[in-house]
Amino acid sequence: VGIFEQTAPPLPPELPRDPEWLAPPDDVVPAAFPLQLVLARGDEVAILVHGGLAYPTGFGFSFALRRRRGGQDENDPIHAWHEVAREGAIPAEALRFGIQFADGGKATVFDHARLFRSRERPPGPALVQRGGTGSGRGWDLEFWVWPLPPEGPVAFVCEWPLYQLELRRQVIDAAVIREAAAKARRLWPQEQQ
Amino acid sequence: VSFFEPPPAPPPAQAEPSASPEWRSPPDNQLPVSLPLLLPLAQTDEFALWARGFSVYRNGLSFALNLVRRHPLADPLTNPFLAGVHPGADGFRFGIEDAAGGKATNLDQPWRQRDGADPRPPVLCPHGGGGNLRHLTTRYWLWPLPPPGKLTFACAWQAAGIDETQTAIETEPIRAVAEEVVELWPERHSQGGWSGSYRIG
Repeated sequence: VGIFEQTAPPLPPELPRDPEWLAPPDDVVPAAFPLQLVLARGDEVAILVHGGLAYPTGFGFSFALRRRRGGQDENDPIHAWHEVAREGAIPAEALRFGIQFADGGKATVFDHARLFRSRERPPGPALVQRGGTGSGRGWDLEFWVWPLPPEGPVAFVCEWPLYQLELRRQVIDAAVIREAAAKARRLWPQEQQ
Repeated sequence: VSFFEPPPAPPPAQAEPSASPEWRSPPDNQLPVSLPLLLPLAQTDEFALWARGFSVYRNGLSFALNLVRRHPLADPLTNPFLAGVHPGADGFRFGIEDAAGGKATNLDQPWRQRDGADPRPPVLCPHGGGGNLRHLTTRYWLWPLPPPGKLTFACAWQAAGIDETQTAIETEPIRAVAEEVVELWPERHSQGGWSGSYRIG
């Protein structure tokens, strides 16, 4: 018998699942809910949250940013969001964005680094940016919010001093999200990986 | 002279890249209007495919295809959304057909057209996506806005046991909200078909 012989078939690929606060479940077909909130509309910049998708464990939405002129690299929003991890302070030019539930729990884009560095379940809601496309003039980003909000208003909040955008807060009723979440559909029985 | 000389001064900032041709990606001077719509397209014991994230612009429609699999993919290069990876007849096929009979599919690859001419509408272009070994997303830009009537989404993936399926929606709600979409400011001028910047990724 030779030494270099395969003694066992290759193991099936493994992929641990993300903890539920970092990502939507990948064995669920979500349900769409109406979401179309213009958070800013100025001469230079416009911001929209839209395209709600409800899951049993939270909800996703899209974030659209448009600028009349292409930005410099240093004030492109997602770059500034990551700088917080290094600097420990919110850069003056950064776009501020977050959500708040009716029980006061809130989460912002500046929590990101902490969420991914820790393995602990966060005490309050989580807001996680999960991919997107963009350039200087237009960014389209996808967000995940965990968990489902309690009854009452869910606020989307933004502020951008660089563009003289004052704090703006727009709400939707959590019932819209919770009712859609009840229509989300699990695809197959949950399996241990 | 020190060994470590300072680097040369950077070149002056370049003018912004011009806009993509309008068939290539959504305009970046509009805020879209979302439709709360999720379209299941196919499901087997191993796969599920749906379209979601319908964002309506004045001149077209952006939407995302989501594919999830029950068991993680062994080889990421077999990602069915990678254009050209599965050219065989059993590879992943996706396309649309509008009420006027216009068709566009993931086999078209209009950005490969080399003669500088705009492709014939309707055009379906991927514009971003991502995922992991268990789920994949690709966003598509459908240009122009579909005509009144039905818009059919078709898919087939023989290798995964998915026979051709067709799912249709009415374009009336899409066309109605497209009229509400506002142009925020003037568009950049596109300097001819091929000098645009392409946002992929």
